[in-house]
Amino acid sequence: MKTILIVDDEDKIRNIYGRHLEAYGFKVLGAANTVEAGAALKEQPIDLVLLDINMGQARGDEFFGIIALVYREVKVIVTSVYSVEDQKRLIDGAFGYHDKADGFSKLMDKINKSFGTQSEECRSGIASIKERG
Amino acid sequence: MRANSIRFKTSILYSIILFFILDIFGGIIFLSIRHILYADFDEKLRIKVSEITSLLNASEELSPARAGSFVISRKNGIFIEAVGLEGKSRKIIDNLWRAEVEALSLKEDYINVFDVGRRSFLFSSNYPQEIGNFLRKMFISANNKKNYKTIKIKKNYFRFIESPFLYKNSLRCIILIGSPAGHIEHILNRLFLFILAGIVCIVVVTSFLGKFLAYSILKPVAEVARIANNISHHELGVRIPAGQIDTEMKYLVDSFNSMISRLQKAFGHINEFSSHVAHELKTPLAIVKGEIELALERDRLPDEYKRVLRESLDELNKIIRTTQDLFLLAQLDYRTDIFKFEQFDFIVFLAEICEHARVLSSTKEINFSCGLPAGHFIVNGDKVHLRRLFFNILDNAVKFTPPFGDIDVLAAVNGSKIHINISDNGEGIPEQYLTKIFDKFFRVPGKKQNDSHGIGLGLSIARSIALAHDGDITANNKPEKGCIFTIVLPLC
Repeated sequence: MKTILIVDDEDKIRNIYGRHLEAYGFKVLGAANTVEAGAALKEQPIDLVLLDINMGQARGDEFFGIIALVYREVKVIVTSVYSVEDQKRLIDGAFGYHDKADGFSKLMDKINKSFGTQSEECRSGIASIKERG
Repeated sequence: MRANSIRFKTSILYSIILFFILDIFGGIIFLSIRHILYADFDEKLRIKVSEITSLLNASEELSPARAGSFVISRKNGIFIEAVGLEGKSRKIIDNLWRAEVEALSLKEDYINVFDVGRRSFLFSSNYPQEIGNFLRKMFISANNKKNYKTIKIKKNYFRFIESPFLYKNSLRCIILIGSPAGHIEHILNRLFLFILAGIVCIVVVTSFLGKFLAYSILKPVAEVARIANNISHHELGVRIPAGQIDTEMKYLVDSFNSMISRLQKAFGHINEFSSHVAHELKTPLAIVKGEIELALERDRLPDEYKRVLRESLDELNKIIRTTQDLFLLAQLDYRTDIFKFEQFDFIVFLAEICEHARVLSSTKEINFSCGLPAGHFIVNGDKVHLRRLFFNILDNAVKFTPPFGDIDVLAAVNGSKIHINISDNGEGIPEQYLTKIFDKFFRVPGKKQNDSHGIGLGLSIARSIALAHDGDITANNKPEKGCIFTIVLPLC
């Protein structure tokens, strides 16, 4: 099971993304700031980080530098309300960039892309959603 | 060089001013020299008049009663028409005249003596008669004063003196002597031409020099304009180099660079503000979209749809409140006409606010106290906006004060101002954020904004309202625990 860490200071965003991703069969962890995110990365293996940029005093762009240096195998998709161009200007080298206002389905495409093709969890998740739907 | 350019105008103005100055200067020089030359010449004429006056005096002494008859004698080219003298008297006059002609070199002069009836009775013969008639019309002013005139006669210049001859205080005749003054006029004409040519040359040369001078003075301005034209909002870091330039231009360059710095700062603020606005508006939109997408992934129970709709409604309300607050802030900062100022009893007004705040505090069972000074203190303000100011502070106080905590409102008059302290015993504000909390969208890190309205605009709005009333608002921490906001407003 792939583990995704959502780093976002907005509780509701973490909650919604978490429920979406859990429905697709991922293990989801949440962090409201970079301190919590750092602790989560230390404690367990993380496959993908969804990283917000503006989290009050905590800056996602600074935290990305730490991930890139220390947790090189962890992929990062920047998720922010900034436009994708601004995200790329602020964070260079992330696996993907997502404007939160674009909705979850587009984010899901980028998550799938980060895991190569559709991961096993994702495929089973989609199957279960289809069965229920 | 365009006609409406500063360079052109400067050159023209410079040339015109120079032309007038040189004209005046040249005129003064010309007239001074003319005066000097003619002063000397006139002195010689006066001597001649004096000598002829002596001659006439002698004639009067010799034959005082013989007016009306004439004797003509030719001596050295000058006719003498003496009043009917005979024998010895005539010889005396002849000798006197001959001596004068020799002594005064009168051969070139025009001499004419008129009696009071304008009849010429003594005249030189070396000029035609019509000249005498012409001069007779021009002179004979009979004002008993010496007159001088320079007249051009047949391409020759003459300087004339007209002098009355009085015998025993009675006007007997008028002496008119003209001497050739061609040499003086020649000098003056040459001088005039020299001055005129000099002025024209100086003006032409200096106008070209002025043009180059204006060009060199305005060159840095052109450089400023060139750089200014190339500055876009992407390149606000560009500055004009203030190297080897004049003090005045340095002042211009410094002012321009300072303006660009302010613009850069303003653009920075706008960018930051836009970023905050985008963040505050797009986050609830992302939540709404996420909730709806999640709800539509599969069939849900009615309660789940209701929850999603409620969540969405909350987020939409948040967007609406954010836009309302932003609009209000823009108005507070840039449209002071939205304030409806009136004079009112501030103590009554504050007491009413305290009553509402007491109700608000009771929801968390907070001890609310309100201490107001006795008396009537008038404030000139906008009640609606001042109420907003106080409720923004009191809302925060209630929000960050723990249940059963304390909120105190204490007003005190200090000189011409009233100070209102609103204190709580919440967690307080970290020292480094005490001034930043009034910035737009600033939220103290780590403080949870449980209610959806906490987007960091409330204190900015409060400060803008205080400033619009010529007041102020500050925040401090209490030594024990909690923070204290002080609002200062001027009294009437």
